[in-house]
Amino acid sequence: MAIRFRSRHLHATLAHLLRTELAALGWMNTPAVFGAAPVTVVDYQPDERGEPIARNTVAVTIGDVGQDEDEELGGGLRSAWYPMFVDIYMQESALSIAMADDLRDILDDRVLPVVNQITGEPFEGVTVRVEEVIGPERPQANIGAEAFKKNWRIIRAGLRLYYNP
Amino acid sequence: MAGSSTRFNAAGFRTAIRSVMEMGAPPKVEDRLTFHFDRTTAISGSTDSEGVPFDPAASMEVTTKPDLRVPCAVEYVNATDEPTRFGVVVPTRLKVTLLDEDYARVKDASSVTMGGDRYLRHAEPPAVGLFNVGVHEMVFVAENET
Repeated sequence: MAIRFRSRHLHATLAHLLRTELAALGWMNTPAVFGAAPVTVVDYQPDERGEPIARNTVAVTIGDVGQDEDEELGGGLRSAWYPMFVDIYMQESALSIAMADDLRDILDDRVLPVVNQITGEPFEGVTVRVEEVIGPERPQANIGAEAFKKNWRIIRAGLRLYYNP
Repeated sequence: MAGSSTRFNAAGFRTAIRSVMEMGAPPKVEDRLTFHFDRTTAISGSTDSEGVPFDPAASMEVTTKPDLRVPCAVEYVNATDEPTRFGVVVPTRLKVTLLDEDYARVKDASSVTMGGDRYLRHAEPPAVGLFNVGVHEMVFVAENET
């Protein structure tokens, strides 16, 4: 076993990446870019916790993982693929599109170490590569007010976690 | 919006209101409205957004504020809507009115019980007052009813 509870460390690493990069791009300033209200990055879907979805929120979540695969024969490198979803809820649809473009640039073809959230240091030999970045897409939601849904965009990405068993 | 007045007897007002609340409360103590609080957990080390530690061996100290009964007025509002396949749209709820000093003791309550039924914290309208005495309302919705 390479990393215990790897999904939680991976998820937290990605959320931290988005917070750091979006802050550097000015999205968390007051006012933020385009004069918008500062953006909040959360690592959960607010509605799943019974929380109202506040405008200018970016929610990063990861989905179900399939079977791990050998990358090298003979007990070498292995990998696991995770779907990642970034839901964008901005105050204007133009800002959602702008945010989506920045998120694409942050994530596209990105390789970064997975950080041990207990020690704050990267796990040795454990990296994640963002393989596919798709979107912005408009969710086919059948709930929520039209005025809200028009500003809702989603970026999907594939994460390939590499580790040595 | 309430103001302040040196001629207003706030202490006397509070005593009188609490007396009325006491008068209207059920005679059996166990039937009276009881406030319940979520447990709080102090964790060593980093946690995620749900407060769950990343370290499986992290030490946790769980504390729970004891249940409280304070003087209050309770208005029972019966469910006003028909059941739908999504559930009852407007569930039964309790409107609990408290004076500011009592509200301060229970403002972090997560639920109440009364008459064997449990009601979950739902909403809180803006506070009103009479001169310098604050009056608060807390709304709880029925979790289930017996």
